[in-house]
Amino acid sequence: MRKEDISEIISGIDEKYVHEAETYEVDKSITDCNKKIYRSSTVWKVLAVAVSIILLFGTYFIVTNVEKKDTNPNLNAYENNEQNKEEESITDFVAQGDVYYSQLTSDDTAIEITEEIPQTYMSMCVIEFEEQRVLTGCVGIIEGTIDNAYIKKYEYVTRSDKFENNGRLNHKAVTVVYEITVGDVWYGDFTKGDHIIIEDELFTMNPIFFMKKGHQYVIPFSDAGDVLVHANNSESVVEGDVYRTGQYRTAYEFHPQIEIVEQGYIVSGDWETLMADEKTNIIIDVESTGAEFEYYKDKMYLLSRSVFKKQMTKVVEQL
Amino acid sequence: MNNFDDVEECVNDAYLGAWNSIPPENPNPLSTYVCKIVRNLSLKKYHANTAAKRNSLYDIALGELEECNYAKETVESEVSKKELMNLLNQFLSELDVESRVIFVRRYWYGDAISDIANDLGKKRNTISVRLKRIRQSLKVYLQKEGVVI
Repeated sequence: MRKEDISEIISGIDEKYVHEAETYEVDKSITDCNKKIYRSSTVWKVLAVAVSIILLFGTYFIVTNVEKKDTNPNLNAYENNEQNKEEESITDFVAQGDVYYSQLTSDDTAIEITEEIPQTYMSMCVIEFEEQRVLTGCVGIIEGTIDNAYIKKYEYVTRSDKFENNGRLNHKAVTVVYEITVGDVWYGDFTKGDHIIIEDELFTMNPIFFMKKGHQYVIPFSDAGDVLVHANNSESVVEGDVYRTGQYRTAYEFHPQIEIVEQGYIVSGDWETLMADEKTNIIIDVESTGAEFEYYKDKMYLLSRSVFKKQMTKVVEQL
Repeated sequence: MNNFDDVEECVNDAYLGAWNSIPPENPNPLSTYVCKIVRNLSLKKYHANTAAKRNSLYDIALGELEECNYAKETVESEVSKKELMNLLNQFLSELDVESRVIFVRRYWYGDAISDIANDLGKKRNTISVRLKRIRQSLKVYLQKEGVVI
């Protein structure tokens, strides 16, 4: 049976079922909302009971200790001292618990964004990172050193009848090219010492997201073909260069790649499997702007080498 | 469709189609009516674009339904197609609401399994297994009705 026939039969699904599927999520959200309200009210009830108990015991404790405090000045001094110690220990915990991005890495070798880059705008929907989906297209996951990183500009002309017969459409495209020496290989048919080139046609113009020259990263990447994606879709290229420098593209371009630093691995929080174990919160203390940065600025974590290796093995097992 | 220009064109054509057909049509609900127009236009465009290569997400979704092994002669005439549509709707009416929603979203809307799982708050694997069971039930149902070999 032809797929067109199946498609036609599927088209005959009753409108009420189509509408039901369209609105089903709304009903579910109402259910979720009710659940939240129920949970919330339960939490408040538990809190109210807990606070009542604390108040009762607290009142008893204060009443029984007021006289002792007044008669023993040493006890006051001791308690003040203990309070100071407690405050100090809280400060220490915060400092030890979180790390600053600037202490882990630097962006001194990030690609400089200059005014020379032609700004090409295209309305598009960025699909949220989803581990399983991103891994599906991967041909390799390597730990690599960025030997060189630069911007490449393309200009080409295609023939199109969209606006006039035998019309010519001028195109400009900008890519980011990374020349990489392969280190350890997590997945794929690559060996240590190989040189590969990753070229991203879509990228985020933000130093936090660029891979930096001389730095090391864990990079999942997929095959990108020989020709620029947009040129490939065009009817016919009549002029200009549309052949890519790099054979590969990063598997997901819209989040910071995993950077290897002395203290461990800097990982964005959307890696579900990698986040399943112990991690340290990273405070982003470098200047950066943009919606994509806002999204990730409180979702960056430092993983120790042992934790990363254990969890990354689980990631690779999914492939 | 994997092409923003085509998507934009389909949406624009759908608005035009809706504008031209209302009235005399008086669709209720409007969103489902517009969705149907968008789907029909998208499929036309999609089949034109992918006449040579068949590997897209929607083909994969339709490929899943091929396992039902409809008899060839069953779909040769328009009447038989109409009959299959009726049987499919009858089958859907007997499903629980969630299973029906999963089926329609996968095969009518062409949604990715991960998107359905996300929206319904379930694991991807759960949705895959549910779809497999629904397809098996559909096959049994069609076998009973004598339209599957």
